Amino acid sequence: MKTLLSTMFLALATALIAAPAVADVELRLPSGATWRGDVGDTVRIVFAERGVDIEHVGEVVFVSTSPAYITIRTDIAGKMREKTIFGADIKVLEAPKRDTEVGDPAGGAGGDRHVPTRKRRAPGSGLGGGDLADDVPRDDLGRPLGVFYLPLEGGVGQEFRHDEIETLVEYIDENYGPGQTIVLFINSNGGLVMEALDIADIIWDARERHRIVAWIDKAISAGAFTAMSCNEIYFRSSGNAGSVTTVRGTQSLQGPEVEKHVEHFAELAEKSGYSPYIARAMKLNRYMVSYDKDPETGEVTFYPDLRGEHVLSTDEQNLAFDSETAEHCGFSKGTADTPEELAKLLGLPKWHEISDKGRELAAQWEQTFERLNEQFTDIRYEMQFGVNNAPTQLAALGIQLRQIERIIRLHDRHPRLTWLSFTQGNSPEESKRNWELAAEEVRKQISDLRRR
Amino acid sequence: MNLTSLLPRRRTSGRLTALALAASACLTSAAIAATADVVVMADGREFVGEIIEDRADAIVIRTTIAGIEGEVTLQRSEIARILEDQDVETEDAEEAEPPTRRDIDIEEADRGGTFGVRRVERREGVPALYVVPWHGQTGTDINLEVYEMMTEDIRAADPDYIVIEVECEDYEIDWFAEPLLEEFGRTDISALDEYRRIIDLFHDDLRDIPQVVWIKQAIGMSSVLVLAWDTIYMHPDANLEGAEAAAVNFEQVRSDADTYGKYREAYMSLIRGIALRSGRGGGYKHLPEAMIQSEKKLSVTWRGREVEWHLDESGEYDIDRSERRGAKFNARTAENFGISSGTAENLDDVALLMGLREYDVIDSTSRGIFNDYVEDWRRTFERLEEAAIDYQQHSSWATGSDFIKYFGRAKSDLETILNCIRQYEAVRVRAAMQYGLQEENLRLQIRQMEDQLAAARRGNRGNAGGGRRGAPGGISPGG
Repeated sequence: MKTLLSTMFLALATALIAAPAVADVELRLPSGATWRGDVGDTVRIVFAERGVDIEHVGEVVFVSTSPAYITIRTDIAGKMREKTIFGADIKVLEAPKRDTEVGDPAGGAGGDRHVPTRKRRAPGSGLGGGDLADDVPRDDLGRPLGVFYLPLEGGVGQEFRHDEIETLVEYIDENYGPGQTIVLFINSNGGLVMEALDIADIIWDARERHRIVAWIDKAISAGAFTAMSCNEIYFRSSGNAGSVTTVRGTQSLQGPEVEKHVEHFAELAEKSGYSPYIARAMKLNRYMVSYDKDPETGEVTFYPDLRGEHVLSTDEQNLAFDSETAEHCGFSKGTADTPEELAKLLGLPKWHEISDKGRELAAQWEQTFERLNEQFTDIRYEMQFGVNNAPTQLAALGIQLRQIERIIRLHDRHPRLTWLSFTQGNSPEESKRNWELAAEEVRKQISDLRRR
Repeated sequence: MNLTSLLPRRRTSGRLTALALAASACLTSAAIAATADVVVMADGREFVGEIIEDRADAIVIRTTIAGIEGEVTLQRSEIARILEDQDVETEDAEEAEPPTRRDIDIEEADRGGTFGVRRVERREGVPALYVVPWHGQTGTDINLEVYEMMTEDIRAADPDYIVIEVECEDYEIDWFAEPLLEEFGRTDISALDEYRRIIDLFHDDLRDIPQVVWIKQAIGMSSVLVLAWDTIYMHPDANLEGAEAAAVNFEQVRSDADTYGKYREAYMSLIRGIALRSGRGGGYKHLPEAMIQSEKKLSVTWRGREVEWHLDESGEYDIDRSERRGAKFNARTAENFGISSGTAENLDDVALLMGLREYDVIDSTSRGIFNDYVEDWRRTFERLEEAAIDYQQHSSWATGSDFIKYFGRAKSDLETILNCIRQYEAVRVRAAMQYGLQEENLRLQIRQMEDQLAAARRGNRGNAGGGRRGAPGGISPGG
């Protein structure tokens, strides 16, 4: 009995202490109205989410006046969960109408998943375009809560390069300081290993100051390598990542060289917090991977064989994740199809791009890349048709020399891209050297001809 | 065990029973009786209603599901238990949920149209459907360009629902019919990117409008793409098959095990991603894998009413045990295995399955947009083929004193071809598929011909790269 009384007094005392802090809280709404209520009140709230008005009825769990937000407990997707809504998004906050039941969002439509119910429109919820409005949510220090977004699409070493990442990080360092969230949207079939290594170095350096997020639409081969260098990976539901086998032509790299690649990739994966077994299985068929997942804790244990309950890759497979498997085994931290969904997973109240510098850099390079390709085409044409149809041998050599000199100049500015287009060696450096030798040879021929 | 015997049928293909007609009157009544018989099946399904026949091998129960009454015959061997005169919750029939998968057993009667559903003039409160044509060849007729145009129209029309009407047939299911290879859908990884963007368009940009897919026919790549939508209905004659051609994207590198592994998994993980777009779990993503990879087997296990898919024979029911062809379905099997949510012969049936008693089809320009696009690009492609024939002819005539005249015409023919390619994405795709024509090569060829012509005009034909040879390279409209 004594214990019981003590507990009762303690509970009462706690309640008395807590009461002034929570009683009669005021929340000023964007409409100008003020809500007055208390923790434990049942409220009806209408708020904007991805441009859609969402209605919930639930119990107030917590209210913060600065920054303004409210947390309610309500039925979300059939389960009672807590949901935090920021003040700026609240349109209506009031006592519920008598005929509204808790957990019946927007009038209780729903039910059979095979007859979808109409949601309200979410304008601008596609991948393009950020919300650059002024009324963005801010953290306690008044800094805007948002992201820097950089689309990385196409061949790694071509459209998809380390340069844009590097420039964006430098820009952020100079203008915004550390602690920023940089979202790299990845859509690539892969490309140059050497470029992927440079990208990894830049990301690792940036990780010391910022949060680097990979949002995967498609991350094959070098694309997956890039994603695995980031702090966190999220997928689109149709996204994939893996298949990192090094292939030349239609033959996979084998022998000691490939083992070096495998181990390097495994090290990088481990450094990023991924199982090295995953990396190896993405490289070569013979490396297997399976895992067990603790149903209580969710902890995942990977195995380099098939002993786990969930098999990711057998010795006849190469590992490429889909969004479901990636999330289940913890390779990805979640799945988001729209920026707004990603913002939620990132713990942000809404999708807000602090600057469009990333998009700008991507667009600039896209244009440059297009122009470069036109130049490459022109050089190829002149090298073939121009040379063959020159009226004299001297003229032909002159055309040839001018094109080689163009290639050398392009090598200086865009070594990898030029090397990919005019390969004359096993690396951009070797290729450039060979082009320089070729230029000297042509110059000598011209000189010899002129002396005749 | 015959799976179909286990499952209540739901075929709304145009005819319902008089019984159902009578039952419809009950839809407006306030409540259902408070006691009823309950039959619990071994697989977890429950039928609530009145047992009207009790035989040694089966019982017949009159039951109302989704607001529609019918008689269901249940084999005793499949029944776990029968509970008679049970108290059941009263349910306001007006609020009954729309039809759900495998719920309705409707016998057919000889009457036309779909019972209880009618198309009406658009007015306040009547749900409006926007029908999106998804017809023809995937990658040409069905491409991002046309659906981007249509999206604007959909937004302007502001429908309540979108019905994507699928009618794609890479080949006819007739062993004697000669397949038109050029009409096969594109399956390459670039095409997959395009298809994913089309799916994004509907799932992201139009996400606020509920969407269903109604398959009239899906043979080829479209049979996989439709799996991106959660709600699928099928015409009674529809098939879902023929995706095996996509395997060429990795089968061509089979000689190297690791390259094959890489190519296959890169491709198949994207394919799984398409099915994952539907939001369905339970291993549904393995379904398209089995449809594409002939050697993969497919089986299912029922978990209550949900289907669990296995990419092997570990499930309770084998769907595909063949190692020589991919998994395939018709309207009945697709419904049995839960791929399709019902069989619909016409739009009335689709509306009924969606739970709509009245609906209107928005008098939009969707068909116009789609058909105009298809007609225009195909006409443009014909012009391209004609220009290619002219090119061959003019090139061959470009000799001697007629060189400049006919070589100039041949160059104009190539310019026509280039313009056709630039005009329509579908033409670009088809020209590459059928003739290997690429824009860059054409541009170079035209430039080369211009230089040759200039040289010829300067009287320098001998050095002009062989004017008598005709144009470099060749294109053959005959394929």
